[in-house]
Amino acid sequence: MRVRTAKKLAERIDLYYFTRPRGMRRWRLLLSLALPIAAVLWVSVFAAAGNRTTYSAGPVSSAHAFTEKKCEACHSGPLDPRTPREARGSAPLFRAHTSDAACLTCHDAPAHAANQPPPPDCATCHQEHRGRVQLAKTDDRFCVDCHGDLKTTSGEPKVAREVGRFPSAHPEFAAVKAGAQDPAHLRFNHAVHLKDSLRGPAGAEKLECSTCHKPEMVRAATSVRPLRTGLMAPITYQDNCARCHPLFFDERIEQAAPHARPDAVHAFVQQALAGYIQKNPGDINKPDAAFRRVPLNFPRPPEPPARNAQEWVARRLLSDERLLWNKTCVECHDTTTPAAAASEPPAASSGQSVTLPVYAATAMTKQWMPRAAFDHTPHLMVKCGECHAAQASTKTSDVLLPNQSVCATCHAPAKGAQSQCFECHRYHDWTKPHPVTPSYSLTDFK
Amino acid sequence: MLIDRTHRPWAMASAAILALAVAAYIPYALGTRPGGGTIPGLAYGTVGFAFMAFVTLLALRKKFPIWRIGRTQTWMRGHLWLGALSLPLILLHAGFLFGHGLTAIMMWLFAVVYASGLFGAWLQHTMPRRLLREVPMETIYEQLAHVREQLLDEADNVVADACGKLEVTIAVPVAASPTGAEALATVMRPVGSDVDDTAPLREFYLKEMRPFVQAPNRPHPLGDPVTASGMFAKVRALVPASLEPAIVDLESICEEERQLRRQGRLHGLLHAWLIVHVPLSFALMVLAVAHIFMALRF
Repeated sequence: MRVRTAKKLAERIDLYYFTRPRGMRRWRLLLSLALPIAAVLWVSVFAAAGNRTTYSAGPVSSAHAFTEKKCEACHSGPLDPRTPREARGSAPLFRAHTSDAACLTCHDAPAHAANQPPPPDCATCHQEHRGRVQLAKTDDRFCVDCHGDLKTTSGEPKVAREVGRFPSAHPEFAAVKAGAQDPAHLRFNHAVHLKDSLRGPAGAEKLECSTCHKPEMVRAATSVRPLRTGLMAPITYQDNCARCHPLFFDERIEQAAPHARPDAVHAFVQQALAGYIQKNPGDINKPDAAFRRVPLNFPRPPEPPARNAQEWVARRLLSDERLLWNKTCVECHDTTTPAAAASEPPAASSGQSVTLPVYAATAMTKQWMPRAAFDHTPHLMVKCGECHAAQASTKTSDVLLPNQSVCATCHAPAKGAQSQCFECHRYHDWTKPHPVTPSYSLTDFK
Repeated sequence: MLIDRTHRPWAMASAAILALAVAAYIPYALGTRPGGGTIPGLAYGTVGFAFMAFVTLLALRKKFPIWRIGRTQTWMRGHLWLGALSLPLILLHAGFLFGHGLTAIMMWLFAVVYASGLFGAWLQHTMPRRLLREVPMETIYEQLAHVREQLLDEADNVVADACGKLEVTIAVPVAASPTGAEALATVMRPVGSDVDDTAPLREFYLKEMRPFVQAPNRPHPLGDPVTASGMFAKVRALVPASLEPAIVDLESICEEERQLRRQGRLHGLLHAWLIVHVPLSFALMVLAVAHIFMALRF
């Protein structure tokens, strides 16, 4: 009978079995040597070929895609001549981080503000190897890092000291803060102009916002199509007002006065009257039935007829200009008569000393947010009234700019539209560009 | 290694480290775009790599068991728990991105190493009990072939004692049978035997049992205990009762062979993951060193 004793079982074992790996142990040993060696070879082959793309943290941006395999275009070591002299000594020899000097070889990067603390490196905000992105679209945190608690090297900051992400931590737009007014010297009532039935040159008509406010277009030298600036074209009397508000000054004269400086208007009216009376000398002795009486409830005794053409022109000029200066022009313009105006030389043809009114410049604001770039173009599908409360505005001083909560209807996290800082703000001050000296040849990128 | 109550300190420490790492990650990720190049990212990477290095050193520790650098059991526990922590830390290091090029390769390697490690831990938790239950005649895995040779010798001797001396002449493959059991049967013949009543046992041994023990990788009817029992019952009916002890011994040898086969299968299951886990771990460490150097350079 077969008996399995411990002694018998022990005798069956080869005491040196562990010195000779077999089966899975052998495979494990072989693979444990082979795979690391393969890894070393793989790394070595790439190193020997000078190919470092495998170590790339990711695809570079679209604009830099052509340098994808030329790591040294941006990664310059301490020995690279582009590396600033002061940075050469401190960096370890093996390091090849990107330097501002490498960026500035191709790019201009005007400073942000004259009194800002030392700015970070280019690569801090413009992070590469994040795929085919646009490097200019930097993350908000880089802006908030400084603007969250703004410090300056000198003087007070010109913007809010604490600015966070839009819209939750962004201050209200300066233009619509409490007490803000439209600084324009003009009298304009939006509500009246948006009434349903206005009297136009061809009868009743309804004005739309777009009747007067049109996108500003510029024609670039290299572009066939005119380009939109994103702003609205400035409002001018000639383009937007003259159709309904012609500057007629005398029922005898068919022409309207020009929308010009008072001295030009004065000269025009005087010349128009002189021309009229020259053609119609019989009117000199006619009583001035149409003499304007302002106000009408204070009737004046009729004046005797003019004795000659010169007197007729002088009388009519006085009357017409009274109408223009005191009623027509001030319909829209603020008038002032500074002391300097009294010393102006008299009109040549009248021979009398004439005091012309002085109107304040309209000073209409073309760009309400000078520190931000708003583009109307992508917003054209939204009704104007959704953002601009013009329907209820009766005063010129009303600021019709939307506040940031209106923008946040769409521009907020999880709302779809971009709400990052770069959407409206630019970091570099592109009013102070510098020339870039070309340093590459095409063969460098082959 | 069984993960039992003795692992509680390791488990609690690992949970605390993970909680701390995640708690620190949340404000970091909310305030900035996480990545390996940031200060917190580098910190996660450094700690994660340190854990990876430690768990890899277990292989070295096993090579030199007499070194006085802590108990192997402690090393094993560290391997389990710090290894479990390493992947979350590396994911925090990478901002949960697999990256590009080398980093993507490393992350996939790491995922495979980690998954195989988890699978191995589960196997080691369950398989030894099954082995104990299903293979009472267990031997050293590497000795299976050696033990099988001795089983064959023992069976030869049993049959020779019962039926006369067997002499191995030449090894010629027999024509394939439907089961394939006879494919590698060694042609043997008795020397000077003229006892006919032992012939059925000899024939059964030579045609069925010997190929079964000799070729453990081939399926055979004797591999099934019920079928084997039926086959031995037929042999019993054909031979005199005096051969019963020999038949019992042969049945016992068949049972041991079945258990050796089962041990081979279970052991293969229990240790096959190491063929993936260990070599890939070493390759991963090589690539990790290259990654660290190049990341610090660029």
